[in-house]
Amino acid sequence: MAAETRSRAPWARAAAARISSEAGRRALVLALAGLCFGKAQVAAIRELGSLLYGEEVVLWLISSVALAGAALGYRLGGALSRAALGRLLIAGVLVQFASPALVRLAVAGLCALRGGTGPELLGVAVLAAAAASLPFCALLPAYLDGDAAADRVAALRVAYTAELIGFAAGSGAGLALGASPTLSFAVHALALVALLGLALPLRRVALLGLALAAAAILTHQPLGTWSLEQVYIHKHRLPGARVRWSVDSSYQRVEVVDAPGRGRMLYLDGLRDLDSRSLATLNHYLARVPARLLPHGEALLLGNGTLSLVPELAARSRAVTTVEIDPAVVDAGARFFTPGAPLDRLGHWRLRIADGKAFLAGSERRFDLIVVDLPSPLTLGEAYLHTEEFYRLCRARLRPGGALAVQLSGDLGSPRRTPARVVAGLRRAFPEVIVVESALADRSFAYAGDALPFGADELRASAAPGERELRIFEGAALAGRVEGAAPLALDDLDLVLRRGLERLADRHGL
Amino acid sequence: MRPLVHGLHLGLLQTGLLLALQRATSAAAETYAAVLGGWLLGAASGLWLGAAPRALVLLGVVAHLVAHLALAGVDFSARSPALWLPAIIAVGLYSGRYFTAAIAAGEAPARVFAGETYGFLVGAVLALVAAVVGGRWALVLAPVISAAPVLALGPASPPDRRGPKPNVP
Repeated sequence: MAAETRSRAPWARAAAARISSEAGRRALVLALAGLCFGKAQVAAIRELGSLLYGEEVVLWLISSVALAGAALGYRLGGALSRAALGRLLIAGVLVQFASPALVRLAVAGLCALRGGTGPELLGVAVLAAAAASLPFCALLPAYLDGDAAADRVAALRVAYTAELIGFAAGSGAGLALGASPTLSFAVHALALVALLGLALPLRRVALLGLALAAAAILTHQPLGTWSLEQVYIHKHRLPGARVRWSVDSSYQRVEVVDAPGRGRMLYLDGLRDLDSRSLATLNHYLARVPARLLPHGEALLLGNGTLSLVPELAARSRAVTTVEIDPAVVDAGARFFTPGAPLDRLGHWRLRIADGKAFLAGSERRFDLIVVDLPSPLTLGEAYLHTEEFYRLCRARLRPGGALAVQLSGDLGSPRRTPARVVAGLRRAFPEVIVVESALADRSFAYAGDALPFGADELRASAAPGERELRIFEGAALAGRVEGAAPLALDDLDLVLRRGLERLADRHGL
Repeated sequence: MRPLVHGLHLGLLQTGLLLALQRATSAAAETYAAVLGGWLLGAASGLWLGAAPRALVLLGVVAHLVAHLALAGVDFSARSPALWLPAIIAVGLYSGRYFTAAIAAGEAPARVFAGETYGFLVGAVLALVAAVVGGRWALVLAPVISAAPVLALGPASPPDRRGPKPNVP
């Protein structure tokens, strides 16, 4: 030991002396607590967002519960004994070791028992979100309470700075490592063990924690996949579901699932974005039809991260640009939906990873066809791209005679519903709008332009093979269908919260 | 009550900046990183500052107004959200300074941190509702209004109003 100390460089000896001091140990404990809090919070938002479906309301619910858990943790830190705080920390660490399989199995089990989803799932989510913050936030006030009042401000500066740095590192790691779930979990588990070892002066607990962390890391991948499949089998009611791909991006959880009789499906934050059966019809109305009616133009694809529209558009266009915000969706698309190798050979196709509105705002390029293939506006990020202002921006980027094609999430329906409100925005932004309701696709599509180079007859003649019923609305008929619908606007996005709350309540029997 | 009011103000400020930048510049992860990183940097710096708390509240409101007024006039902008980092850091300074001022005045750390966090949560939710219902100008105005009670109350009670000290007959 003495030889080891003598062999250390002076800076290493000084650093070791600092860390071994009480203040240094505390700072390190709080940095680790902040790291575990930040990492666990990011993981909880992705996991619970996916289990409850990631509407804006759900994401805010989870974040709010995590924040309330942090507040309760701070409160408990000033009220509990050291022994009780130690037990709280151990419990919190064990919950993190068992995540995400524990939460997934709880949700799948409750759905199996009930035969569907119920309010009890929200209880599971609340407990899991609070567990991500509460145990880690109790440490800061507990340490500060132990200081003499005169020293508290100095101690606070060091302690809270350490916790903030840890929180930033944990949040950053959570976001950056989402594409490698097992590595991400391993970083978290090791930080938890380090926290236990430094915060509690019990060697047995630290050693047991290390053993449990090793077991959790080794079983993370198989247990995680199996528990996720139970969620798809019992919650999504997909017997025999197999999860082929599951990663967390900075925006959402991206999953590819195969199920007998349903084919291959893409899920974004637990919501089915598309399946291979309906993809052909969707692509037909969204890209094939307008590209056929506007041949050899320059096309812009906003969204469509699966890239499934690219081959179709590339065959009929002079140039194609795809703008997608989430590289993880592009990755899943290239692996499972649209083979990447043929795309690489397309010399006139470009992919830009960017927010569609920022891309259009920063570009002076003009296009003959803009295709908007985005999920329903259930988050603010998606809703901005369904607003009247955004459609005006699209119009400014269209060449004369160009067209905008938008997939609506369902039939036009009532004026309060999303498709009618989106169409109301299109009608404000464009002089000419035509809506096609396809029974085969089980949704509507809108085409807009200054002077569309095609009309109802051409669209009817371009119906998808096997189409059961195609209803086309334009002019006064369309105006009548969306009468009373308020356009989505940047300053009027109540729909995002209202629809989110309605869906959350419907799903959970509230 | 004080920590709750301060937290509410800070929640309105931070969430308002995030929502305004996501709306006008980009909803990409870089925007979230800029707001979170800038805010944490501001908070950590504020812990070490000895500036008068009320001065930092005012600095935060001015930085908030400058940031939002640059965004409110446009629907969409191609500018990088990183350009707003100085304003985000300036707004975040008080979120650190508040804690040192309150603790220096003898407030219990657990009560201060818990109350501020609950308030922050309420402020964040209010900012979201303000953004979707009232639009961009609601986000501009809300923290200006919430700054009034923050300035009036200050970060902590004067010592003589904090009730009798223990063991004092």
